[in-house]
Amino acid sequence: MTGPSTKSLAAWTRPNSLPATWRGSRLVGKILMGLAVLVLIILFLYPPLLMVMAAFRRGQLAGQGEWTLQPFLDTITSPVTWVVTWNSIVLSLVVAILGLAFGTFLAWVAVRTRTPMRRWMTPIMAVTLVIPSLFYGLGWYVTLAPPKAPVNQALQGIFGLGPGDAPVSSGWGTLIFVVVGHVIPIAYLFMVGPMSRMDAALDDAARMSGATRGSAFFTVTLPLLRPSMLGVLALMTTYGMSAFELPLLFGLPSGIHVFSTKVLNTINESEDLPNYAGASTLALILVLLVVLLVALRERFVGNRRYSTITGKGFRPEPKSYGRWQWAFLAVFVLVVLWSGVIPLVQMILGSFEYIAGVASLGFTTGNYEEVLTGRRTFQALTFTLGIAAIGGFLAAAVALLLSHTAVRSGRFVRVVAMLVSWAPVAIPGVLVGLALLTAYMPIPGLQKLIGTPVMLVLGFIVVATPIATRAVEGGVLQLSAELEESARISGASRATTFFTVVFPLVLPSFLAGWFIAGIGIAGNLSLPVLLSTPTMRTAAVTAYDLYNQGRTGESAALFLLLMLAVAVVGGLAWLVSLGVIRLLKRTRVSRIERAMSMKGSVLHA
Amino acid sequence: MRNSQRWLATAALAIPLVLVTAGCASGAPEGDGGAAPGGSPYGGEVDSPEVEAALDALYQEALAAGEDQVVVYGPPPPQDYLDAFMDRFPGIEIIYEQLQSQDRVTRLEAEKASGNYAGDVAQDGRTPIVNMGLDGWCAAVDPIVDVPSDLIGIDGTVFYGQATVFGVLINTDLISEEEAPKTWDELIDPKWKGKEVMVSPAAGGAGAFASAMLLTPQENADTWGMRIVEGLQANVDTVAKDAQTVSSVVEGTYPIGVLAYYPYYFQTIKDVPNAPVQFIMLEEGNTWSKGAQCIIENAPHPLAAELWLNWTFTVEGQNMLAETGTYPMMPGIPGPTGLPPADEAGLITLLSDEDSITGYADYVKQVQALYGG
Amino acid sequence: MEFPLASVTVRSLRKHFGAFEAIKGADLQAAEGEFVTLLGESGCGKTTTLRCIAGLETPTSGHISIGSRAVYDGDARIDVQPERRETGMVFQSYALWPHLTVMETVLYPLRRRKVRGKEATDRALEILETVGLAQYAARPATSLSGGQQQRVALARALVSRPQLMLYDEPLSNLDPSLRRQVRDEILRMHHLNGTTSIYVTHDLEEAMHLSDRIIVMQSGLLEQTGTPAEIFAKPSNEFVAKFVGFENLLPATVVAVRGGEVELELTTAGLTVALPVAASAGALSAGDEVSVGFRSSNALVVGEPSPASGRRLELRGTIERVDFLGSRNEYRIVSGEARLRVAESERAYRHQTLRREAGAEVWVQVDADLCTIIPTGRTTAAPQTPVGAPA
Repeated sequence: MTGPSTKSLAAWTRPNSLPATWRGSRLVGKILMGLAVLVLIILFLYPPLLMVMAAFRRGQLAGQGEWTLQPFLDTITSPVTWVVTWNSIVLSLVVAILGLAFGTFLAWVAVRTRTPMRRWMTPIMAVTLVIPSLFYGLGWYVTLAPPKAPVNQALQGIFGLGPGDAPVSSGWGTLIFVVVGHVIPIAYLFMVGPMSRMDAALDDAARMSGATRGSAFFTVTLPLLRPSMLGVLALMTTYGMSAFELPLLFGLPSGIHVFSTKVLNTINESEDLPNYAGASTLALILVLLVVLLVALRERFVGNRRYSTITGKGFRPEPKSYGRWQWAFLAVFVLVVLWSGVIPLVQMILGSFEYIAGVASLGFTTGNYEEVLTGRRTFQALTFTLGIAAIGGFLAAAVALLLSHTAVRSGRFVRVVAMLVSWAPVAIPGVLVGLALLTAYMPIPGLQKLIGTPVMLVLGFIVVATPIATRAVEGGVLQLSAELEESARISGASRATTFFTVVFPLVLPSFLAGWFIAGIGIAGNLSLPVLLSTPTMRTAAVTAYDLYNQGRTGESAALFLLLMLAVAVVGGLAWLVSLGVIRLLKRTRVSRIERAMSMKGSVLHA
Repeated sequence: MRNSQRWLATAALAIPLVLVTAGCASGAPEGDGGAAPGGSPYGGEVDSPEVEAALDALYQEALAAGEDQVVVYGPPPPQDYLDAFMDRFPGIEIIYEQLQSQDRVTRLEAEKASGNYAGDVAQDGRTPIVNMGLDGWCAAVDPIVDVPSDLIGIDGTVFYGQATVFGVLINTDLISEEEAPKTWDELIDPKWKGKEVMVSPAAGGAGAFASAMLLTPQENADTWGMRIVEGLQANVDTVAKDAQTVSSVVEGTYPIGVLAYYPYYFQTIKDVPNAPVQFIMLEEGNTWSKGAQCIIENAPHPLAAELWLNWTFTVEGQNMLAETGTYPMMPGIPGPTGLPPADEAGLITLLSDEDSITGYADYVKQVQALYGG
Repeated sequence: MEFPLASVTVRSLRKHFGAFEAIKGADLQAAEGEFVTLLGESGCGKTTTLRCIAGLETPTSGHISIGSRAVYDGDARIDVQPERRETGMVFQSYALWPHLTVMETVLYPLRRRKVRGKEATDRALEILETVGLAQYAARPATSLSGGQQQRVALARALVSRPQLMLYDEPLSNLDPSLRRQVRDEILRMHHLNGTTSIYVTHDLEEAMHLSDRIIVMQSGLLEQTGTPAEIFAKPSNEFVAKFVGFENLLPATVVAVRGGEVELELTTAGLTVALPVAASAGALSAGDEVSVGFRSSNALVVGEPSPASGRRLELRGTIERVDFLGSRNEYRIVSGEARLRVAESERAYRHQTLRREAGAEVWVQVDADLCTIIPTGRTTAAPQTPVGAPA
């Protein structure tokens, strides 16, 4: 045995070449990474950058033409700009916080308690998500706006108002109420993944230290969910800025104007040249907001480790909360009424009315006849489902790869991943199609794809990845690095580790991301119009067009068919996957049992 | 058409002509491309015999070239209108793609850049199409139908075949036609406060432009001007969408709807003939929107597009416009059911084609600002 | 079970994390079949060293070989991925996969090495029976108790018959009552298959029990390497001395070295004492500054000085404090400028009569062969050839 060298050797000179991390089999990985980064930057970062530039140019196309400060200054100095910005920020923030509170609470109820019917919560929330915001809004509009509506009649009686008064038809209270109901299912679906993979032992530790069940929730569970929650909060706030339909219906009549309508109006205000510069200036405000929110999130999440799946004993057993669980169930039922049942019932009624929302003219099946015999209805439905499934999957896959790589890599990659996953959010919803199209046009490889289905899928991936990332990254953060390290030591390459260890463990979050992204894609109106060909109609665009032509009943009917199709296909997929999982489990168990029985009770030599 | 194609077309035409002439009884054919006595392919249903013959030739040519669709970038008209064309010329599908005007130009630029041309025809309000024409996006067309020169613009590239009007919608259960306001001044009478509903100009739609029409040119500003616009704002309750104007009047929430969009009203009474609504035009100063079309350069289906464009100016096409709730612009064609012809409808004076490009912008902004947008 | 054996060689290993130098140039060796422990406090670099050997960290520079194969060489640009190093590793927090059963967990390394079917299940069951967990084969791995989980982790690491076993503080997360059990298990498995093992811990007792050789590390450097007995009895510097439990370190200067004895002047106690040369871990010469160390349990507290019989260190002092802990008594005694700690066994308590309270005057006695002379590396004399070293 040789003795130790107790002190450092003198004069070690570093060899004059690349350090070890850059060589050998790791070099190939680095090159691939570099290429991927380049592609991501072009697809994700370039459109918002272009949009920022466009604020200072005036021309036929966004981002082209002469450099000028005038439209920028005009927009900045207009007081309306700041009024709508303030309105939207307040609305978005309040809605995001309330929606997240309800959503997280219900996720906790579904996963960690023994509330009756909790197994139905996720499917019900998923179905609720499919209700398009246009009809969600209309459903509540019909319920709250007409003076003859029961709500208003009751209020007239209580407060002694006139028969034409409709106090809850619009205003801040109504607007917030309606929008919160719309976002609770999304918040729920974002949070149910991380919640279901938390180490209950940490909760128990808190309880043993004297915390009550309630305070353990607030002092242990919630802080551990912080990365997910803050990410979702940031996302919901920024999407809130793009809220369009609901503020129109419930804010406009009370004089509440919001950011997204202002953006649209700004572009259209002149018949000469579209005012891209003005609209982009407004978009700059959104960019600043996104930067601020993401920076805040990074600061609060920081470098702390949030791994709660450490392979140390993690099965979170649901606990009983006694009589409280009936209260939980009541809350859930109320939320379902709020987010889904009431608007859905109105939508169903509307699909049988001549003018959706107007019962006084009578009922008809004519809308369904028109829609079902429509030339391209079936094609639009299948196309929508297909592209939503594929686009959602790819977006979730990109999100997973992005989050996982970021969590396991150095600072540079982490920053790039973060930028990529947030950049598309900085483009106002009404401008997304325009921004992407204008950005991709001059790029050689992408140019030829414009007008083909590939470009549409690419566009959807770009738009849906931020959403999917928020769903997926929580699951990835909870995964301890040691689980991957032990797989590597056991002989698994990076790729094998990813598929055998990482993917199965983040599966709930991945599925949530896939679903949410898919629904977002199915309902997206801005991209198909610009990026695809006219023959590639999505059902959502068709239905929306129908609505704008005044064929509101048919619009409702088509949307309902789309929801039905999603429910059927989604339900089938759910059942099939459950069956497959059960089958796999059975084969696994039987294989083990067979092996053991062959050994018998022999104590081997 | 090239010479060889012309011969082919004539031959194609001659054979069925001969066959059908030989055996058919007289009487109008059932909306199918068949000949009737008199030699005219559609039996005079579409337009004059010469026009019908030329259209049929164009139709055959389009079919022979494999053109099976026309893609129109613009707000879709009622399906019945499209169905009429498609019944008349089977095998050619009309597909409308709803694009905002700024998106349309971007889209066309993208098509040019990628070489994947998709759009054949652009249709919208006057100004966006005029802009396109001035920027060279539109192809010059020599129409088969005898279109008067005041309905053609920008060096033969832009065509004005139709218009839509805005008017007053009343709920006949709540108010009679006699009681209803019929001038702008009557509309701003405070006695109607709270009883009028209007789509908000701040909602990003036609409402702002319609209101801006009251402010320019000078004669409009003198007769009506900001006085009316501000008076309206004081009187009306706003809604977010045009469709809601109609639905809230139909339901009876409001007796009067201002700046009601005629096609929506038309749609309603088509479905429910005894709905308690009626559309009234003001005595004068009715706001309206002149519609325009052009065929896009490098259209992938140029023949079919030309067929479509021409058909919209035929007697059949123009009458179908009226039957589906749009104002036809060709002289001598009556307006949509119950409404006076275009030249007798008290339509407000519009700025000229060129002036309208920039002339309304400031007023639009003014109106939007008034409503907080 | 036939296990391949490999030696491990680490030369001039350096690892920086940004500006922080975790390893500052470490050399170590493990012979085939040897059980070597890296012992030190948290942050000393022992875990980083282990992870560099495993391939989970990439060093900044240096050389690592497993067997005859270089797995990392900064100069020659060699860096073998962890999955190809044929090692097995047991982690502090078990690192079991929640979605796999015990059987699947143990099958995992076999599958990666393309061992399938019956052979795989046979080997998996074999190792599970060896660790006594065969009856849990179909259970989800993470549903077992902590101790059982760590044994599954052990089985997983061993099933592919690695040429090198790595242990990263595997007992730290276990209940104290379980630690002994699993530690015994580790030792038993090591005796069974004799794999070269590198074990990282901060616990002295673990290191003593398991190792053939201990390497003490501090701040990225190796302080001392030796057998457990050597480290325990003859720490080569003050840090190691404190680590292995020398609570009492008295500063002293070497007066002279002659005739197998070292004469030392205890600086703070003002005494001179003679100790055998064998008490020192290394060579000494006059003028060297050293510490004289003894363990609290090796000292005796008496009420009166006794006539010198046999070589002995005797220090006079005053009791500052006594803690009566049942199985032993712990004293803090002030002697001159030094504070001494003495642990009195129950036996000594019963056999000794003295005033056991603060303020009492006592004498602390330590047999010379229970004292150790620990070098500090400092000297008051001019450099000269040390006695005992070849000229």
